[in-house]
Amino acid sequence: MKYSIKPFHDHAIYISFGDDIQEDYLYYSQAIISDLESILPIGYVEAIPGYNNLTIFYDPIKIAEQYHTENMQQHFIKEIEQRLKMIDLANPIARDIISIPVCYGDQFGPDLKYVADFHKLSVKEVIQIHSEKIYTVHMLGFAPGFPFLGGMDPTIATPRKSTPAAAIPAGSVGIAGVQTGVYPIETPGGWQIIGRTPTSFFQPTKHPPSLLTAGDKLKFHPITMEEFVELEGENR
Amino acid sequence: MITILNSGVHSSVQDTGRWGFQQYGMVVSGAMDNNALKIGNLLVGNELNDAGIEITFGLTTIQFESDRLVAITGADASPLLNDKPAPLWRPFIVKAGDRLQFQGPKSGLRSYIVCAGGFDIPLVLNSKSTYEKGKFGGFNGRSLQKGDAIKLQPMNEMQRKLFEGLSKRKQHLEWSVNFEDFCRFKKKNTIHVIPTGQHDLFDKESIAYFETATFTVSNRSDRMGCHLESDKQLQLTNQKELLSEAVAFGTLQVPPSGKPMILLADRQTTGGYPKIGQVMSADFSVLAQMKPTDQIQFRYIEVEQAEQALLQQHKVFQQIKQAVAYRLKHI
Repeated sequence: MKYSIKPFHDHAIYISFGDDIQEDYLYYSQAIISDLESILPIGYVEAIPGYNNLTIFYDPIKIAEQYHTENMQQHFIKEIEQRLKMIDLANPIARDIISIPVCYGDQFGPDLKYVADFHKLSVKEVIQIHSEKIYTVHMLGFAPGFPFLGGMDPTIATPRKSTPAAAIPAGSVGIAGVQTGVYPIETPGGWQIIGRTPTSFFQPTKHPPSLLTAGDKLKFHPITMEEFVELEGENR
Repeated sequence: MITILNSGVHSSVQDTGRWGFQQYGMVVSGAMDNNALKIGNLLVGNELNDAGIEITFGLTTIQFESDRLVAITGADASPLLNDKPAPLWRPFIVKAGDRLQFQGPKSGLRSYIVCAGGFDIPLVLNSKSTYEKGKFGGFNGRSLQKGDAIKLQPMNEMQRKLFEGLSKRKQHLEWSVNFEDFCRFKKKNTIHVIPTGQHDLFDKESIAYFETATFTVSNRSDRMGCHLESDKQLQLTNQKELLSEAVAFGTLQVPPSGKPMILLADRQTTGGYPKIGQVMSADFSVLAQMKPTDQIQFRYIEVEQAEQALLQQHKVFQQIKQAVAYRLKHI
């Protein structure tokens, strides 16, 4: 693992793995988080993974009080560097592929036809292309539990809407450029909505609240309206 | 219990934030001015991170349905208790049926009302903060509305003693917390910025402008971020698509409009706009209390200076903590 550490804020540091996007970086982030959270460094608050980086938040006052230092960031960086040296990255945890049921088109995917027309494909072809790939969760952000997914076939890449929709229902599956993703909660958004999943991606009553973690793999599989209704009932 | 008779412009239940779940995209929320909330909690003998009501732009009216020890901190919105001026930055007692009415803020933007014992509201992901977009946390997952009745937890023994001590007094306490080390409530402030993030990718003219110009707080600002108006657009030397990454309270991001925006309590966990720097933690309260039309000048500092400012602020906070504990003992 190659990395560099630099300041992010007066209570956060930034570990950069590289300028490109590599799946290894996602495993680095997860390995670092699980190591740090198994034995918490004094002052550790939490960490947020990015595509090729990890930002770690800490409480500078706790560090100042514990170590009687006025250079809290320097101290925290040194401690993290020590920990990084000992992290075993040889065997990344193998991940199962999570299967996500999606009811494509009709009222659940109002923009599916637009996406098909945009590429001169049939609706069926768009569904097939979207549901045969395996996607990687690069990071979660934008909204609670919202996955930034990599791995979409560029032949169905479609620009965002010029005017964002005021309310996109929870569970909506969308396309924006070469990205695809799922809206876990109702929110305004500009993505082209092609379907909806009955699977809940974010439940604040659960620990962890999010279905997905960065580094996870998933696949969409098409379901009918009847199956959607049945699965949605089960999830309640 | 307390009843909201008038919700004002925007009021919501907030504690010091929902930390620990940002890797799942969970927004932190929490009080915009954590120092004001914490001092409120100190004054009534609560835990420092307990929830209070954040009142933005005043005009909120609350009726107390039971006797209670309370405190008001943050912006001075000339609150009236049964039509008489209520004290700020010190504990006082209210009786069942009393009405507390906030006016428009004279100075600052956000006031906090804290009740001894705290609100009887379920914790969601370890916090009582309201996350309005997700419709959970706080009171029914939304900002407060007329008619809302919020239950209170019982006061502990120390709080009951304080309540009784204050009941015997004929007048309000003669002391109050000096908050000026945390917030100066001025219309024009110097805000200190650490040059991290994509600071080095901005062109020389933009950096020079950023450091010398005066920025105006826009009326589009909210709990998510402080939008700023400026005459000139801030630009990168070379336009570049960035990958999304973490953001923080105080992140100064520059969207394609070229007008900077400072991310605040209800910010998303990640963002893809270039960051010209981070507002230092010791300036968070000043920032949280700035109103539309107020003015900001930025000054770059190093992390070490931001740490010194934070340590200094913490030292003052500890002094206040000790002084309040001493005074409360002698009521």
